[in-house]
Amino acid sequence: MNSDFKNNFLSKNEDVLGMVVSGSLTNGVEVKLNPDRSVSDIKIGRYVAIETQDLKFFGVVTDIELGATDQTLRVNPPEVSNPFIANVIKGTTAYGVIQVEPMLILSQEDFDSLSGPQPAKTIPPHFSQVSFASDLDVETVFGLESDTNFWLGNPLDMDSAKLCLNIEELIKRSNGVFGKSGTGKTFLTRLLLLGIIQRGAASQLVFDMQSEYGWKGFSEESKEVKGLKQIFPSKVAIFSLDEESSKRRGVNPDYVVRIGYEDIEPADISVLKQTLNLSDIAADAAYSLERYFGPSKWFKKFISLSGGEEFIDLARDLNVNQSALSSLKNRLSRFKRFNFMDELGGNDSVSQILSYLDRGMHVILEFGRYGSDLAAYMLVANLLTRRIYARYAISAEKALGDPTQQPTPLVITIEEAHKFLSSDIASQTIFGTIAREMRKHNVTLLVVDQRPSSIDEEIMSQLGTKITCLLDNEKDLDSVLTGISGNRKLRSVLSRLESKQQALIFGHSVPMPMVIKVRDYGTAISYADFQIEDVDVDFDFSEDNEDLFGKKDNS
Amino acid sequence: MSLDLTHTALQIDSMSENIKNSRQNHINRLSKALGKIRSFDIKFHESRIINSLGMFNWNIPDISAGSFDKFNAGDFPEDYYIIATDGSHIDVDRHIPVNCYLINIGSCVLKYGNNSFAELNSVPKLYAKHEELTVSDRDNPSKSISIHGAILSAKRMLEELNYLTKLVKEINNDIPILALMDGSLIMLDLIGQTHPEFVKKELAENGFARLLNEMFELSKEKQLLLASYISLPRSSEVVNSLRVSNCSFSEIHCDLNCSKIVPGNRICDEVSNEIIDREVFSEYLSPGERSGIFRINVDLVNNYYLGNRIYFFYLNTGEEIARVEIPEWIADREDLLELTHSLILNQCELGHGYPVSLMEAHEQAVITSSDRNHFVEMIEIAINQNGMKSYTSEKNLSKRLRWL
Amino acid sequence: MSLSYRIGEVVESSSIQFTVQCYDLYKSPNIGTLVKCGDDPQLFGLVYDVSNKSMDPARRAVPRGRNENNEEGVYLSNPQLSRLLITEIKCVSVGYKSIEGIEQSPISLPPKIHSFVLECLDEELKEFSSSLDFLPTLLESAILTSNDEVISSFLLKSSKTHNDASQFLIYAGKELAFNLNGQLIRLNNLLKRISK
Repeated sequence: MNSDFKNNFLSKNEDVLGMVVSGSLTNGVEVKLNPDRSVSDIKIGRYVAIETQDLKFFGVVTDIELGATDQTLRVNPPEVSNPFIANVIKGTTAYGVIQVEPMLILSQEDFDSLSGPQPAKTIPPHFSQVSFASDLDVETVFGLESDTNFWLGNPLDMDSAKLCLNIEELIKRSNGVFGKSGTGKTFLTRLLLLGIIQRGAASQLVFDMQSEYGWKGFSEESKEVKGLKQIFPSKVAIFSLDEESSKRRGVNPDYVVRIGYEDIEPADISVLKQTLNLSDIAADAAYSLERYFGPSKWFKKFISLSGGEEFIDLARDLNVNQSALSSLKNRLSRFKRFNFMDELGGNDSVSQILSYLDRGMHVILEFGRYGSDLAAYMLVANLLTRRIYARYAISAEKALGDPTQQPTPLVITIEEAHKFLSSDIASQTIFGTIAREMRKHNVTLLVVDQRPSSIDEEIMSQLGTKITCLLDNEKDLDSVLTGISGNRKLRSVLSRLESKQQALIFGHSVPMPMVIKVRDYGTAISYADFQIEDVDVDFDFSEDNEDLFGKKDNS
Repeated sequence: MSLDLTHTALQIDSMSENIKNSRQNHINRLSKALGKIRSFDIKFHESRIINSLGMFNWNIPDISAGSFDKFNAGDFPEDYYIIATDGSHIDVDRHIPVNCYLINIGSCVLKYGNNSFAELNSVPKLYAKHEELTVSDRDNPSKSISIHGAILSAKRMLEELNYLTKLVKEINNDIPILALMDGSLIMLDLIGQTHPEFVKKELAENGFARLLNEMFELSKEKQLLLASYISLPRSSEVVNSLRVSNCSFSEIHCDLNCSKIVPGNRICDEVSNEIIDREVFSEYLSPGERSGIFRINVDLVNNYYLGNRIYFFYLNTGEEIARVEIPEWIADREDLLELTHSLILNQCELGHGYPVSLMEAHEQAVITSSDRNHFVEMIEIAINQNGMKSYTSEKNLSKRLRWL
Repeated sequence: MSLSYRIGEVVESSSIQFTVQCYDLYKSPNIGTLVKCGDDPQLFGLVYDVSNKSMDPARRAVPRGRNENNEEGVYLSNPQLSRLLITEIKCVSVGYKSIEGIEQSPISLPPKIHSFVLECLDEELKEFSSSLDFLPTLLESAILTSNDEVISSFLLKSSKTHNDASQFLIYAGKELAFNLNGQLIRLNNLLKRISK
């Protein structure tokens, strides 16, 4: 037996929790805690290691129970007001039990061949020793911080172990960040974006609804945090849809996006059906209008129509219900109020965006005041993405067979994703297409949402990695955990996450599901962590000890 | 054969009937005797004795003026010794393969007061040597008689006093010592038996009496008291002496006057027939009281005790009337008498009705039947080991095994 | 009484227990004391009963102090009592010393009559009580009249010989908890006793 294996992987005594006393592959293993361990030492979601003769299992605590050898204890408890008696009973007559879901297994060969842990297809035998996982264990499973591994946070109660996400693997698929509002989705998303930027793994296009990713954002406690451009000034470009708003916030956008009337296509309208409260007929009428007036022109022509005779005639010509058409016109007229819309034409934002992306830079599109208008958000996001995706498709085909010509992978971040990806709409949005087509043409999504149950089930299952903050709605929980093994156990873990700074991460780019405490962001030190040598940025370290999240939970 | 209890019961029943009838007579006599004692006229009694010229058939003690006085117990010191001995023996037995006997003397030494302590002991002695098995006439050694039965009992009594004397000698303390024996100071076993005279000479004169002298000598150096204690005495000496003053004949001549009269119908019977001393004294004496002293008038003592006279008094211990016998040198002194009385009474209190020291001495001396059996077995084993055949009688065997 | 001294001698013994008559009246260890007797092998016993009685079973003690002012007076006035009364202790065999060390199981042969019996020294008690393997047997033993009194007394005495008394008692308590599965009330009462 290679002594390194033993040396490296035998747990220290102070980490030992107890031993396996029962269990099954489907239900996980039951671990009786040693007398000196209190159940309150252990949290759900904590990472544990189980040792057998030659194997090491890694798993997650999914439930915590109290047991007693004698059930009369429940009716007639011993005199635990006497501290001596309490001390004796604890761990013997009354003891703690934890349920552990074993997920990975590491054997001697795996260690030797450096192939890393494999999914567990068996369970540890009776009386196997169970311990808290060590930092070394975390490294073994998740890898060390490196060019491809991005440090996202710490496993629960393990402040010195860095849990890393393999960014390269991450962006091979579309991914999702979920959680109730206020639980830290934005925070997490920002970190992921920073990670991707730092690792240079892909280009990014962020549709920043609240204008919080670009220059600066705010924490839950309204503390200002730096945005992507402040950390990576040379790699990030801020595009704005609302120049006035940007300027007001002290942001100097690299480009102001204007959308021309000619840019709008009927498909863009279909996406907005629900949002604009259009009936199918009304939405479909856009297609008829395009045929009638011609592409690029139809929108301008249509909304400049006055009511009255012209309108009635048009309706008749199109063979479209008049009131439907009328409501369409009514809704579309709203667009006139969007300042970013220009009847004379846009400014080919798409090309602008693409030119940045091609250079490996990252574009963040701020929506300013339009972020609060869902219709605006959806319209612009869908519209731009459609065109970008089409260009990507062309480049990809051109580069067929020549890897050097392949376009840089692109990750598109959208918020309120369920609006784009609900079952009834997913087929009509470009995002639905991208999500389903799994990195076709090197484009993937990063969806951020608080109502995952509203997202189409198939799309949910296509998401490679899901990072979920606290969810408590049953349907949301169900949808996030669809198709995951150990689903039931993870549910209880998920519903017990803390409301801040904790997330469960599972899927393609992590070997096993893991509860993490998200790394800090907002202190000078945390900014410095992202710093790249050739950038000369001065951070104010006096902010170091400030607490981003208000009163720190002792997690 | 087991005892036929049914038959026996019937007989006991009829016996009880008879007892009831004679009961009343008995009570009458008792009361007459009491009356006589309460109004005892010593002068009259003495004159009647002289008058009888030895024709009085009963053996009675010498009564003095104070004999019927009553005395209370007095104080006794804090520190004192009580030494008691008692004995038991295994008699010569033809069922035992070897001719021998065993005397076991039990002793109890109690010190009261400061540094109180107790020593309980037993000393068994096996007598098997030829010279030990017989008493011989020292003037004529060919005359000898084997020691067994009554003679053995007498020898045992002698050994009790012997050991008692030895224990007294071992005490070198100047505090009062009461040496106690169980039973009488008179070797009753030697009375009334047709023993050759040399037996009395050997055992009484040369034995017991010598020891009494020794005790007397010791009493000069130490504060020594000697007494013997008889529980449930059956003697009727005092009662019989009442006959003297109750005889209606001018001259006392029992054979002449009353030989033809059935006992119970004679005049003197009304104060003494079938009543015994302790019955009378239990009415006469209050608990804790003793009577005055009476001098024993017995041939053996008169002739074979080397001049030692033995006295007695009756004592109401509270539980019973006991008879205490003492040598002359105690009887002569009021203070010694009182001390003897008080100490014995206290011993009885401590012993719940019987002197505790005698009780313990007795316990030490006791030979149980299983002790006895073991003794016999041990002898048999010793015989066998030495290559001698032993056999025991059939009677003994059949006694040992119960069979149908 | 931590100095080792001779308590008395074995007057009766069997493979699971032995009876000791003490040399001095009323001078005996109390229940729960660990004693040793014999030599090669040396046996260990645990006192489970102490009795005072008349030496002769046929003779009972009777009250003697009606007129005494105090109890001591009874003994002063009746010196023979110290010779007629005895103190006897009964011990259950709990182990023996072999070449390998201390075995906590009854030895196959009982101690000889007249074996000298001594109270164990503190070091011996500490060594013996380092393992409590004999506890289960003791808990269920039918010869003891009040098992739990004996056990708790033994544990309390043992705890005083260890460096950390409360640690020892917790260890002992847990052993009891393991063995008294299903007897929670008994466990509770036992623990209460040793927690004092």
